[in-house]
Formats: sequence, structure tokens, C-alpha cells
Amino acid sequence: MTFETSMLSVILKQLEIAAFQWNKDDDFTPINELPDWFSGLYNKRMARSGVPTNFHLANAFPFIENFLYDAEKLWSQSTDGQLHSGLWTEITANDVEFYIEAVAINALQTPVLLFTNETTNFDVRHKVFQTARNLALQNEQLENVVQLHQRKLQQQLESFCQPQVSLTELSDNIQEESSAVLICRQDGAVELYNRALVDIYSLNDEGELERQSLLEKWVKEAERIYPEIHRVLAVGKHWEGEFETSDNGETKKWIRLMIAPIVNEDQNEKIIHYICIANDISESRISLEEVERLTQIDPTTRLPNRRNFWSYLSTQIDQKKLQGGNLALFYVDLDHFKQINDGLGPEQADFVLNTVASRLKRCLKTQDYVAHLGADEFAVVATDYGKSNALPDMAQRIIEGIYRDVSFNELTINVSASVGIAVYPRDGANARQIVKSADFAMYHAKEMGRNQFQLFGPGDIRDTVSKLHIEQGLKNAIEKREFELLYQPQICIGQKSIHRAEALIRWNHPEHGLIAPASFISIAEDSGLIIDIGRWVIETACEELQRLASKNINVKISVNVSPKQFKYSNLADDIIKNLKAYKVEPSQLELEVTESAFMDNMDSVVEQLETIRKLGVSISLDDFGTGYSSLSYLKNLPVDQLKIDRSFIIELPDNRNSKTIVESLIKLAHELSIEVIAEGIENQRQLEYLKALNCDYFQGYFFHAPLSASELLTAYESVSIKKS
Amino acid sequence: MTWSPFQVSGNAEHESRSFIPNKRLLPMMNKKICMVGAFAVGKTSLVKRYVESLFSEKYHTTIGVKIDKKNLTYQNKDVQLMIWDIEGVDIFTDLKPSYLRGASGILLVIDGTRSKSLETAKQVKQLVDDNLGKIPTLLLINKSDLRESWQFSEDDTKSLAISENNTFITSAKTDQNVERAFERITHLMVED
Repeated sequence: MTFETSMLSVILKQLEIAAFQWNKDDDFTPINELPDWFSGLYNKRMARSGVPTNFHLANAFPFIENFLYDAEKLWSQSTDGQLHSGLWTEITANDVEFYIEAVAINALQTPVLLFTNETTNFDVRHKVFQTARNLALQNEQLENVVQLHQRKLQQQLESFCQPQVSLTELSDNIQEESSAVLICRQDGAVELYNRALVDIYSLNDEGELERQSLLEKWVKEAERIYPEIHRVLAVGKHWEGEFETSDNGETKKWIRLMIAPIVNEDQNEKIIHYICIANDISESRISLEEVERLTQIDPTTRLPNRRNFWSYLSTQIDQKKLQGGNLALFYVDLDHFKQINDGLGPEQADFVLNTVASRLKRCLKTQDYVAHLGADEFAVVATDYGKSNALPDMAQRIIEGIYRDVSFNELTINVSASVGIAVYPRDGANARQIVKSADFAMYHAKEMGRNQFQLFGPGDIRDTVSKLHIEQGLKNAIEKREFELLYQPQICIGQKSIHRAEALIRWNHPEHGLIAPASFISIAEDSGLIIDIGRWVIETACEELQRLASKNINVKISVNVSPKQFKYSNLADDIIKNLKAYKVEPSQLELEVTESAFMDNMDSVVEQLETIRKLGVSISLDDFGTGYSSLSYLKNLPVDQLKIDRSFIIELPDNRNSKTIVESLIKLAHELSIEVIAEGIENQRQLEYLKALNCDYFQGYFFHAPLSASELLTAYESVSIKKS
Repeated sequence: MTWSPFQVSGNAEHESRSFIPNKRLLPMMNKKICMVGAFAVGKTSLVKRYVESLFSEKYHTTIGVKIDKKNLTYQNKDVQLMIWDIEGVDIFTDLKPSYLRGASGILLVIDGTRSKSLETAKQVKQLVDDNLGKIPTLLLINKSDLRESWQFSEDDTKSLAISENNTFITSAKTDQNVERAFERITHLMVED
């Protein structure tokens, strides 16, 4: 499998897509590693287990059996079109519902069937449709009430409209009626009307009705929707319907109108009157329009939703194609939104989304388009931004607009966003490509540290895909035994007799060979996989200590610990468990923590470290000098060792600044009874200089490169550091 | 009319099967039934009542299609009903003709309390006729438990051209005629 092929497989799986190549009839071969949800469903349907080579999808899913009929037509045409099946529901053995859509495409003239898992977005979609249909039902009920009332009123009026009943008497009966009533002659001449009719048509002068034929106006207005109205009335039949009318001030209204002809039976069924009953139904009509609008509005933020976004973006790009010009898409993704959602709950998360939506609208021009694409993703489309050098300013405005505290009742959190920018036509020829480019740029912005923007560059795609590939590989690396610990000794020159080594992780990737931690640790941190990797490191180091102890070799091994291990795992328990399991003395283990571990929740981390330290495990502060390096709180941290970062060591002894910093650090540490380890020693001059400053330990290629477990054993055996 | 030839099984995981020893003379017949009609007329509730013997008052709108299976024995023939519960028709959802393909029977559902559902049913029936031609079709006038609120009479449904024999007044809530309607459509499909 080539890199590109495996990359594609990873991307499809990440997107929860199951992709198949159609062979013939009901015979399909998977193109990618199938997502678990699909394998589970398929196996349930086929009452089997394991992963078959070929799949019989029509047999498993009756919905697909039906869809294949259309799909095969598309595939036989070998065109670039695509066919969507529409959504359908499958239920697992545990009664979990999956909402799935199938898409048939021709990819490089190969018939391909994709299964997309729409379950994540289903709730929002369902909420919109449920609201819309509930509203529609309420409207129907209201209309029914109006209809029923009109019919009853019509019957009453018909019974009144007898030759022996005077119009005055009839008029008295209808004046207080809530429905508008008009009784006219066949030619439209007004005979009677009530107050409600005057109100509907906003008439200033009641005489106006007598000067115009409202019946004629209504028929003209109604025939746009009901072309048969002339015929129905001409043959003396009852008519009813709903249409748009305009009042005297030309304000548009919707009315429900019923027209009932009154015939004179003695005059050969000649129509002598029309009884017209009208009700203003504008409000329910407006809510019906609202129903239609709802399907394109996100219910949480009231911004246009993803469906509206695609439609808008495609339309705008089509216009640019015809008229020329550029268009910019800003893909905005909130940073750490998952923690907000998981930590504070969906209601507070919705509050944050609403706040961000308001802030976005405020920092943009009215002609800029903003949509909420779902979860923590927003999009801004700018069609009129002037020159391209205006885009960074606009992106900065978005970032600064969002980057403020959000306060709840008793809590304040900081919200930030990463923004990716893509420009049509430079970064893509159609909506899909532009979105993809902006998404890659956004991903790059996340990579660069979040709370910033990035313009799309050609390298973004490769970088992002590569990261996805690494993340996918990391998930299986532990169980596939692809990690390895190397050990770099820390040398003590002088009277001390403690022998130490730092455990350094390496990843032996089956395809890409040895991968250094710099290439995957940050990805593991972002994805949370660092917790499992961190546990593996502690366990493996303890195992190695046991092995060395069995050879009577007494050393201390330091392991690196991620800030996330303090936050999301029970580090002390993990350590106790491994010390016991491998019968390791606590004093043989050391944790290396970086300053960033203290930044998030210093009190909790200090408490955990004190607990661990009480066990007898020592603590080393790593990379000191590169980050916050707050000397003032160093005295409060429970640390035994301080490691000076290699970036200072490398410039010794020639760089005056580095010399000053290193000298100060060693002096300060010693005053606080903290030992100092210098890492990155590469030559004799560096060593001599640090020795002169009474540095306690030295680590670097000048002494040893990182050694495998067996090399470490050989090295220690050669210097004879056997237990006494 | 009685529909005694049926042996209907219970439900397990939305699929059920009834075995009558020594009576299975023919291989299993598969019959596709499409539940069609306006939105919120009770199509899903009818299927749930028939397949799972359950009913919920809460209106939970269907999006897309859900397929349930029910196995039964009809005159010594094993029959599997494949019931396609299809999203109701409204202003933003049309009935996709492709969903009807291969159907052996249609259950056209209307809500007795909503005259608009009858209007929609007329359009749906036309679409079914255009796509499937003459096919066993039942009219289910649902929500008989709300009969006092009905907005039309059975006479009003004559324009749908579905015979009285094939018209059932149903209620998923009280279970009125639900079983009978499915038995009837099965009979028509098997005999068709």
C-alpha cells in the first residue's frame, strides 16, 4: 500500500466513511479500513464476525439493495456525477440507531459506493425538522379553526339571506362578527359589510368599499393560485381558498376567503348574492415561511446552518465565475471546545456558541456572511473585501473579536478560535475545494498554537494529511509494540555514586522507520493518546529497572510526564501500581515534568507531585529556561533536580548571555538545594565550563547517544556499578 | 371479513418469526410494503404498534427511511414483510419514487383529524399509481381514538379510489384494526 493510499484510507476512516469498489452484482471490495460502526452493523446484518474480503451489501441492507438499481445506472455511464441515497436508519443489537447515507460515485471511472455516518449531525437536523413540523401542525390546527368557523358562519348567513329578511336586519347580525363579511350582488356591487372587513383592508373611508368591487379584486388575486375560481363561481358553486391580497395601503396580507353564492330557486337558480367571509391568516403564513426558513437556520445560534452555507457559497462562486472577482472563506474553529462541552455541559456550550455567534456578527461588516456549520465550526464568506492584503486584518479582527472571556453565573472561561483562510479562485475552483483549502489552513493554524489565523498554502494539505496519518498510527502503536525506550545516561563527575539515565521514547513505524518524539508527541497530546503512551513509558521503565536489578545494576531512570497525565489520569496510582508490579525501589524512578505542567492548575499538580515524592520518587524540572522560568515560584515547587535546556548549553562557553543565565540558574538551584543536570553536552569545553560551576550531572552525545536497553546493560556492566 | 389464515409471531429485535412444525411447505416469501402519506399522520406509530406492540403519544418525526421486518405464516407460507416507513410528505420533503421500487403493497395513511393529510394522500396516490401501476393499496384513516375531532367523513376519501374493503379506520394508540390492516395487505400481496 502506498503512502497516499494508506493516507486516503486513514482520512476516510477518520471521517467515518466506509468506501467500497463495486465489482459486480452484490459483490463489493472495501477501499479503506472500515470504521467500527460499519463493521459492527454489517456483521450484525450478516450474522457473522471478522472482516471478510468481499462484502454483499445489498444482502445486508435492503435499503442498499434498492439503491443499487439507481447506482448501477450511474456507474454504467462512467460519468463524474454522484448519487445520494437519502438518509436511512439502521439499529444495532444494542438498540443504538445509526443514520446513514450512501453515495454512489465514479472515481477514476471506477464504481465506488460510500457509506457516510450522519448520526452525529442527526440530532440537530432532527431538532429543526421536528420544530418545523410541530409549527406546521399548529398552523394546520389554527387554519382548521378558521375554516370551521367560516363554514358555520356561512350556513347562518345563508339562512338569513331570504327575501323576507331585510338587509338592515342582516347587517345588525354581522357587525360584531370577528370574521370579515361582505355580501354583494353577482356583479360585485356591495350590499353589506362589517367592521372586520374595514379593519383587514385598513380602509379610512367606509365608502371606499362601495366604490370598488372587492369581489373582482379578490378573484384577480386568487386566480394566481386558483385559476379555476372563475369557473367555480360562474356555475354557482361554493369556493374557498387562501391567497395573498393587498390592503388599501398596499400592505401584503394573507387571507382565507370563502365565497358562497346565494341562488334564487324561483328564478331558475339565478345567483342573487355572494356571501364572502374572509379572515386574516398572515400570522400563520408568516410562521409557515418561518418553518421553511428554519430548515436553513441553526437553532442554537440562529445563524444560517451548513445547508444554507453550501447553497450560499456555491451561488456566490457561480456569480464570481460569471462576473469575475475573488471571494474569501474564513473557516473558524473554536479552540478546546470539546473540553467546554464535556466539562460544562451542553447548555453552557450552547451559551458559548451563541456568544461567539454574536461576537462574530459584531466584528464583521453587514455584507459579510456568517454561518454556524455545527459543533464548534463557523464560516465567514467575504465577497467584497478589496485587496487581498485586507484578509489578514479581517482574520485578526475575527480572532480578537472572539478572544475574550465568557462569564457564566460563577465561572469565567476564555474562548479563542483558529481561523483558516482560502480565496476563490486561487485556492480552489469550486465550493468544495475552497472549503477543503480553508479547513486545511485552519488545521495549520491549530498546529501553530491556536488562537491565530493561517492563509491556505499548498503545503497545508500534505502537513495535515501527514498529521492525520500519524494520529491514526499512534492509536495502534502500543498494541503493535512499535514504541521503544532508549536510555541516555546522565553522568556524574566527582564523588557521587548515583547512576542515572533518561528514558527517551522512539516510534518504530512499520512504513516510515524510526520517528523522533518531536514528530508525534504534540499530536499525541492533542488527541489524548499521550495518557496511554505515558502509562506505557512508566511501565516499560519499571520493567527495565527490574531487569537491570536482576543483573545487580542499580540505576535511577527518569521518565518524561505530560501535563495531561496530571489532568486526565491518576498518575500516582499508575506509579504505585508499576513500582509494586516490578518490585522497583521508588528512589530508582524519577519523573521529568516541564514548566507547562504547572501552568494549567498549579495547586493540583503540586499536590500530586508531593504525593509522588512522598513515595520516594524524585522529581526533575525539565527544559528549564525555555518557557516561563519563573524563578519566584521555583522555590515552591516540589522538585529535586533542575535540567538546563540544551539551547543554553550549546552556546557555552562563548555566548555571554547563555553564560549569565546558566551561572545564575546553577547558583539559584544550589541555594534551594536542588541539583542541576545540564543536557546537550557535546564537547569538552562545555563540560569543563559546567564542571567549574559545580553542575551536578551531565547528559549528552559527548558521553553517550541514547542507548537501547541491551546497550545500556552493556555500558553499565562495563563500568561495574553493581549493587553492593 | 376474517383473516384467520395467519400465524403472527412475537417480536425480537424488530424481527420475528413463527415456526409451525411440518407446515412450512414453501420457501420464505419476501414482500415489501411502503408506508406513505403526509407527515405526522402516524405511519411510524402504526409500524411500531404492529411490529413491537408499542405506542408513544409523543410525536417524533421520521427523517429518511426506516425498514422493519415482520415474519408471519400465511396459509402455510412463510412470509417476511419488509415494512418501509418512509418520511412523510410536507413542504420540504417529497416522496422519492425510487423508495417505492419493488413494493408489493402500499399502506396510504391519512390522519382523520387533518383534512390536509387527505389532500396530500391524493398527490401521493397519484405518484404511486404513476410509478407502480395497479398494486395492492390500503387506505388507513388513522387516529380513530380522536374521532370526535375528525374533519372529514369516509365519503370524502372516495376520490382516492380505494375500495371500502381496503379502507381501514385505525388507531395505533388503541390498536384498532392495525393487525387486520397488515393481514389484509399481506393477503392481497400473496394472492396478487
